[in-house]
Amino acid sequence: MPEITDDLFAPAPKQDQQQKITRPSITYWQDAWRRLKKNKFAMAGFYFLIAITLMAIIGPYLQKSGYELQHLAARNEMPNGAYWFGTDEFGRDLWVRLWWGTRISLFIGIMAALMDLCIGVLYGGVSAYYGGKIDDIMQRFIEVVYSIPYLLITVLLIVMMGAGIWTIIFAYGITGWISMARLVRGQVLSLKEQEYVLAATSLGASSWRIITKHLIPNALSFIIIQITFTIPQAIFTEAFLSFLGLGVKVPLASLGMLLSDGVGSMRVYPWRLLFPALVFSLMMVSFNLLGDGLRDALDPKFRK
Amino acid sequence: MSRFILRRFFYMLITFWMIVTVTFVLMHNLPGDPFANSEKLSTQQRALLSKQYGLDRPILVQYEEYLLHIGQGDLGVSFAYPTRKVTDIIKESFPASAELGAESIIFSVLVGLILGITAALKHNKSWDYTAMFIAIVGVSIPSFVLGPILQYWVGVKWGILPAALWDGPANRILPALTLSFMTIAITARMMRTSMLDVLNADYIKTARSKGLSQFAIILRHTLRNAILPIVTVLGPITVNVITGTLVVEQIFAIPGLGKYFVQAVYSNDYTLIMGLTIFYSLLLIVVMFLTDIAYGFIDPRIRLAKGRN
Repeated sequence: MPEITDDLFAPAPKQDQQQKITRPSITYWQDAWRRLKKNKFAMAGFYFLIAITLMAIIGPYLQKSGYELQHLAARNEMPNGAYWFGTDEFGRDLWVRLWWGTRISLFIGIMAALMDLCIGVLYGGVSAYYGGKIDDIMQRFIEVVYSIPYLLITVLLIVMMGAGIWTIIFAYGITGWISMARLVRGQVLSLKEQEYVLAATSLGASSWRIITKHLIPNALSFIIIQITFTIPQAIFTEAFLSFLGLGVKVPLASLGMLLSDGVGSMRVYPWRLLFPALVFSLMMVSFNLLGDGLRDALDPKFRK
Repeated sequence: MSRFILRRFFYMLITFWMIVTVTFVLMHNLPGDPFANSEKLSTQQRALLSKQYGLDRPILVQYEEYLLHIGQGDLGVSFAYPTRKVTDIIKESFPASAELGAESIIFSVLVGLILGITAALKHNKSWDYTAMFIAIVGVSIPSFVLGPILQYWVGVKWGILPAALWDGPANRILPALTLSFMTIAITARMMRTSMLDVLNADYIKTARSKGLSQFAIILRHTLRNAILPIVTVLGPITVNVITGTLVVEQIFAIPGLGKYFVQAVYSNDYTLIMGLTIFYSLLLIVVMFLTDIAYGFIDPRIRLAKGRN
């Protein structure tokens, strides 16, 4: 029988080194950002949007003129040193009007996004989280509102309430948030069955905590993707209404209004259409590219 | 199935009733009254006119009558053309709009499907990028910019196709094309996503591992399953085409309903606007109803899920 000595009981050398994680762990959002950065198209869209937004903020101040100021001595000017994008038939500086219009269009888009967040997310979230009777009633209501043609109601409202930014936004508030509500409901319905929500419930977390700490963060990626499609849609609708003469009120400008003015005079003054069309299309393309890129980056289904 | 259809039909009625009510409420909350623009009218004349149009009665009575009239398919008389009924205007000008819409939908759904399928089969290759670029451009340029440009270059400068009016088959091409871009984009995107989903499914792997040719897999297994979700975008496509015709008919001077709608908006012809809104809404609601039913038939999971809750 071998002798049992103390040194047999010496602790084994620690093997920490092998298990150590050598790289810092990254969060979901850092991971998504990395994947988004690899998508050249989405990043191009992202930078274009930043550039356009910056121009919408500072653009008008690079020229002394206001968007409504008429330089009657300089009507129908071609783009030149004094008026970078020319002037219209009232002698208004088109550079200033273009960036003001961008600002108005972006504002409408952002307000639509806010509506989506406030009404759509809340409605969908409450409907799915509480479920049962509440969900039933809320879903019946959505099914009815869903078939109401948004644009026709908007036209109707504008005819009644008068044209203007707030009418467009109000009309969006009536029917525009439906797709967001449906999306959030679907997400929350599947999320609330997850084990971690059960764990949180059994640990005594309140509804509020579960909603804000577990459900919303996990549905956030889908909400963001939806918003990148809501904004261009709202801007597009405004442009469409402007063409019908139902957009913002003169002398205020919006991209849609500049576009429809530009279409009217494109045979004689093509640049009046060219510049707004460039900015508008670039903005739409950028939003769509960014939205597609975000979906690829955030939605696990699209991961390679 | 019949329970599912009945249920959907019931919702359809509620939706329609809601739209009718909303239009009625809006019409009665107008600032001023329909005769406010004619300043020369004396108070007496105004009272007489109000009586003639029944505007002096209690609102609930008016509402009841309004519902009754709509139930009988009577949308009232146009304010701007007092001799013409709204329903007559619809009967006369809807065929042109419907034809334009149908031609555009057929063309653009075909093109969209081809683009979407190509994009999915060549996923992440240059074909995919090209197809998706076309789709994105389609949703980025408003039809009221594209239309006049096509009209000017193709119609006026090159003189290849007629630039306006609605005389022969050649007149259809430019308006239908203008109207189609958005639909092409929607269809192509939907088809691409749906194809990619199906291509990753297990039954495609099974088909491949049992040695089927690529062609047979695509034709028999992938396409048949991937094309189903397209039915769901038919609703949004119809919305798009209807709102599109408002603009396109205006640009190409097509004697359709859209042109009337725009004119009615300009001239504040309330009854015509209301009537056309109700007509368009009904059209949309019916399309939505039919697509829902069609999808229920195609995909049993939908009707089972809906029947349960």
